[in-house]
Amino acid sequence: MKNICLAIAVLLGSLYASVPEGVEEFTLSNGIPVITRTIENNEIEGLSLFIIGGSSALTEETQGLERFALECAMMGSEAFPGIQWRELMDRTQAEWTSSFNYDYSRYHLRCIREDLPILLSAFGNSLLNPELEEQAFEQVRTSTIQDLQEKYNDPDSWIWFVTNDAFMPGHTYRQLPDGTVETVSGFTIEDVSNMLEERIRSGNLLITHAGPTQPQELRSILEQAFGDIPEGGQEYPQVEPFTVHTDTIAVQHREVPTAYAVVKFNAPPQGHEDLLPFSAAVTVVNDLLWQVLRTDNALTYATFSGATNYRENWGYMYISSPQPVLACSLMAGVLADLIENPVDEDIFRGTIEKSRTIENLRAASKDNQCWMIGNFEICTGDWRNAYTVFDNISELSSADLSAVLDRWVGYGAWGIIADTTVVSVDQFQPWSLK
Amino acid sequence: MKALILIFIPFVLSVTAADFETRLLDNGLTVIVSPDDTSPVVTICIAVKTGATCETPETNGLAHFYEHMFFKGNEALPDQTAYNRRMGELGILQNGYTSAEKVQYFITLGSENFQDGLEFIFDAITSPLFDMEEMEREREVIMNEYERNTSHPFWHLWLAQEQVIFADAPWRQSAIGIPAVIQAAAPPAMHAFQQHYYTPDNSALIITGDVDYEEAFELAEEQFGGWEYGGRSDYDSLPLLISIERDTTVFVDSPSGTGYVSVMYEGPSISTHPGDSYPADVWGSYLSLMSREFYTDLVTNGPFINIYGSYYTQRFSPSITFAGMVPPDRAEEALDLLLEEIQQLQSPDYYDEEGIALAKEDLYRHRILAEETSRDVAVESMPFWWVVAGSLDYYSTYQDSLEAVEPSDISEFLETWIANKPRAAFVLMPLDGEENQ
Repeated sequence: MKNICLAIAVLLGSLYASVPEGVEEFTLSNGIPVITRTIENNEIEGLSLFIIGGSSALTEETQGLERFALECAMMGSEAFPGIQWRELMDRTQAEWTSSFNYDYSRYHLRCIREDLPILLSAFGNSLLNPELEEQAFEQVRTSTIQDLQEKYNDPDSWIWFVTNDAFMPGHTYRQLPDGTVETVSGFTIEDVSNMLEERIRSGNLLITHAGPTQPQELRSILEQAFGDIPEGGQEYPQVEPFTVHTDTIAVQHREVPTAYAVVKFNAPPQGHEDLLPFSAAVTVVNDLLWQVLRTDNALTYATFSGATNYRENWGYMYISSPQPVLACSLMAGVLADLIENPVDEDIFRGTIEKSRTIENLRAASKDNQCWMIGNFEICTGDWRNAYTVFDNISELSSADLSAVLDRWVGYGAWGIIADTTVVSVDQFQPWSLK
Repeated sequence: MKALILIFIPFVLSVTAADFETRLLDNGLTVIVSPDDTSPVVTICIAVKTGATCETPETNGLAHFYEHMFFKGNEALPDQTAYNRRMGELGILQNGYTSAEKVQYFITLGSENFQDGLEFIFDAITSPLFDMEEMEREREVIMNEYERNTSHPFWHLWLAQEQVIFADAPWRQSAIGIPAVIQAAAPPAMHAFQQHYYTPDNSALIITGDVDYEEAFELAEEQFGGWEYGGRSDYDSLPLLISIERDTTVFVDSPSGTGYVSVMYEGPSISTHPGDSYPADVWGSYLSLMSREFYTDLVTNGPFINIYGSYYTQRFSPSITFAGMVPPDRAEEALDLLLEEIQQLQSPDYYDEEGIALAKEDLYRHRILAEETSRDVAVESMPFWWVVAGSLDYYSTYQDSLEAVEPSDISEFLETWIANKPRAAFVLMPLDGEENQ
């Protein structure tokens, strides 16, 4: 028996060669799973609360409600009413960052070690017993609407949404986690209360931590802060694949001196064996876009490509250029060419080396550690996958990249923001990616 | 519900700057090393005392153009394609920033490639080619960067600020520059910049991450020791730039509907009034307290969505700024309230001792959080303080200096820099065809 255990341990060790030491998992008394990575290099703590569901928990009418409800909760609670809440934030200089995506909401706390217990107590209390005072509620509404308006006002932000109608009509992800001006304008305090009551359930939550606090102490702090969260939660159905049946293009006119363009295309979902080579391939595309569009042709200041990391995914390419027709045409050509002709092996190896540096940089940031562990746990079912990418990527060849792009890249959904009095809308057509 | 009681316990957090050592090479190059073995990466940064503040109307934009040419090929790597390939071989991530008072270049790579990384950045900083064909291409890239800036909802506000508070020489604050200069840039202008500013005595080499002191200093000297001393930079003798002569209010049209209000004053230059910068920082930190009057009056019970009041440490363009987002239809009301609040905050009664202690404490915490990774230290902290303050002495004694700030220092700071001093106010909002003022 001992030998079998040893053999399994060796096998796991080889499978997870890059999985860091010092990671522990435990469950709070109400069932909330916790994954903690002890890192003692400094006094900074990172802790993320993930609320699983994202777009699946929203309808067309409630787009943005989860975000809005959480932001309202973070204005004060029964135990820490407004003024005391603000005093606590002043005293600790705690940094709260939040993000709301198609699969989950994430609230991240960054603070000094000694402040972690009191801040988590306040956090737990705000989720369970938010003050929801009328003036603060309206303050959040004003701020959220302004934020949404600014996202629209800046073409560099809004370009990412222009193509959504074409790329994901009727899809679960069409419900925007950040909401719209229209939906946020209509939310009531009752909507917020109901949303928090429904969503703040142990079955919907995951906590990840990275920092110097030891697991045993962390467990005690978390139990006190989040132990009263009721059990239960929602089951979320599989997200349906995207179904793009033809090349499309959506053009939005604005009086801007440079055009912005994004094209989205199909990509493997989480858990699919093609996702890793696909992600590697679009990272190579990223380097090729830089070479062709910027270095060789000087058509842009900014161009890049990548793939999302949700349950269902898409690949994307982005560019800003005063010559959008030529730039988009070349951008499509870069991808099409890579599908046909594998790139030089040394270019591929260069891309991998740069990705390795990125991963090592991430290892030093507690925020990144919390995100990586949580994201992979939610989207792939195992946080260890966050660390094993490079164990597997080294086995790929550049021909593998072309092959995986060939299997997945189909029609493209293009979005363009441009001054159509300068570049006639007739010149825009969806450029084929293959 | 658990009973939670918030007790305020004042204490002083012990914070020191990131561990570092500095050496001056014979050619005048400052080498700063800060080891951190958390992750097997090294960041190498070169900070140069130059930027838009060194420009004239005829050269406005060239410091930034020069920064772009850093990445375009040098005597070791003949063009950008070769440069890009070498980056891949070494796993290098890179970037560069040009601001009004500083230019910096940095790379991050695996610590096993540290020595090659030093050679890579040495070649780029000391022997850029300024090939005309490459410059022709790069000017189009920079023009696109300019166009992207002009597409931003805040572009016209930024322009207005430059024109009003840096009226004597607005170009010295505009790193992106003027299209006509960008379009005409040629190799001789690049060489002139190189001659003046890209010399070891006008630069600092900052190395952080998975290295040890001796190895890093030794390799730095080996690689950079032959870089020829210049002695031609006029950076340290450039005149102060910021100048607000009279109360001014400028309304800036925002067709997209963004609302923003700011009020600016001249602040103390770190060159001429370094002692004033500490009470200025404590005061700014006090204003950021959400539990105190400034935030409560203007955000909790006022029209602002967010607000800050702070001092920006600079040599030539130090400013004191109060600013925040507002709903566009409340922008004018917000300006009136902000101006009233600024009047009030000149009274010593506006501040309480506990709040001042808290404000200091927050600055310590802020530094810890701002320097989480070795890359943060190499890219964000050290280049800024080395260029702006002239050495890292200011950086390393910062906490002690804050500790010494008394409420009376804050009163004196306010008396010197805000009370009865001219201010420039800016309101970004849709003007619906009204004339800008």
